Amino acid sequence: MKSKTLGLFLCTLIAMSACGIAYAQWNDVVVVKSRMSFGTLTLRFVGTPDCSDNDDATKDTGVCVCEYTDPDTTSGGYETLMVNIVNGYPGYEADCIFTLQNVGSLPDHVIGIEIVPSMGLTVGETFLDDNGNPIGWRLDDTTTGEPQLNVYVQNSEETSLVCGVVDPGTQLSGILNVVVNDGALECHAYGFEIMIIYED
Amino acid sequence: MRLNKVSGFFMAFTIAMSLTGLTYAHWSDNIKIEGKLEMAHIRITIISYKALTSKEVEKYSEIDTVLSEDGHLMTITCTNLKPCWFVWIGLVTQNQGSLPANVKPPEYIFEGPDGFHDYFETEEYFYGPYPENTGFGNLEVWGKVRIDPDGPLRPDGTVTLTDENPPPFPTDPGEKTVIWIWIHCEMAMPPDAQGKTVTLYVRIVDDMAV
Repeated sequence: MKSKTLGLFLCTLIAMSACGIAYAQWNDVVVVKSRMSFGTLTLRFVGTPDCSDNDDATKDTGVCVCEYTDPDTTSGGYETLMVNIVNGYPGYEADCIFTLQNVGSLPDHVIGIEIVPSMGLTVGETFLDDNGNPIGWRLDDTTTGEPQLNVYVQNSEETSLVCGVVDPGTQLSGILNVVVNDGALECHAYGFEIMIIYED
Repeated sequence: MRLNKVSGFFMAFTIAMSLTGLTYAHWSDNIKIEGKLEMAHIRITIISYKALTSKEVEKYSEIDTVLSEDGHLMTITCTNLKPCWFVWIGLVTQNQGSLPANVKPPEYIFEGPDGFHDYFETEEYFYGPYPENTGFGNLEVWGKVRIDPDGPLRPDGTVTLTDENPPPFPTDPGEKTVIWIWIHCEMAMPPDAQGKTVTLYVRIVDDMAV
């Protein structure tokens, strides 16, 4: 009885191994290769910025220079717009026209614009367009509260850059406007940094 | 067992949230605008001065002039004044600021017994502006100017007060201006002024001309 059970087990084992060989002989592999590339989300300054001020036609006392810096060697364009104003005075006003281009492959959606004033300045008021989006700020002296500068960043239609959508390959024109207020101090240096935040 | 379930759920939630945050950060970006602004300054400064009077006045009166360090305030101390006393104060000013500035009549502050300032009269005469590189000797109403009862005289004897430029007028950075100020003691000076000292401050006033 015991040898019968052993024989049955061996037969089953042999039969199973035979089936396995057959399966291995008739099996094949189909390989599906898939290559996926992710989109890119890249907004950059392109072209040449154009700077002008309100005393060019008269004494030309104040000087405004704007240029792009931090070149993006991967996708082209520049990451920073630098605006330098020298010899400013109350009533002085400078404009800088810049161009943004979507050099990525996904639509860029501007979701925010923020200003960070330099030490000694604070945001006294935020100016909004008709849609309630920011187009500028009044920067006040931190100690005295006296208005020093007005800074505006708008698109060419004088509305906020926020909520604007830049499709791949297309451009968006913007204007930075700096106005020196009556309370601005002689021999003083002011600075600010504006972040344009975007997502897909 | 129940604790294990809770902690497992918490860990799964934490992992899910961190993954979501990573994805958001990766698909949001920004570019920036940097602005720098250096402000100008206005400064009209006295760079040279004279106090001239007649030989007769010099005999009895001492006139002392001191210019402040910033070149904005001239202090004139005079002794032994009497009716008809006079002095011509000459100033060469320069626009040492970075902006065009208006030359304006100076301000006078009298320091002395009450009411004495009413007995002084002043008149100003302005000349220029002259280019920055004009030396003092080449200023037509400055070098070798003599004093005469009619006013400061040029070396050729002509009175300087004929071709003045009435203020305010603009001067560009670096340009110079000559100002002659006539200070005169009126005849009606009261007798109790005797023995008193009067100090006069002359302050330059500047104003942006843009």
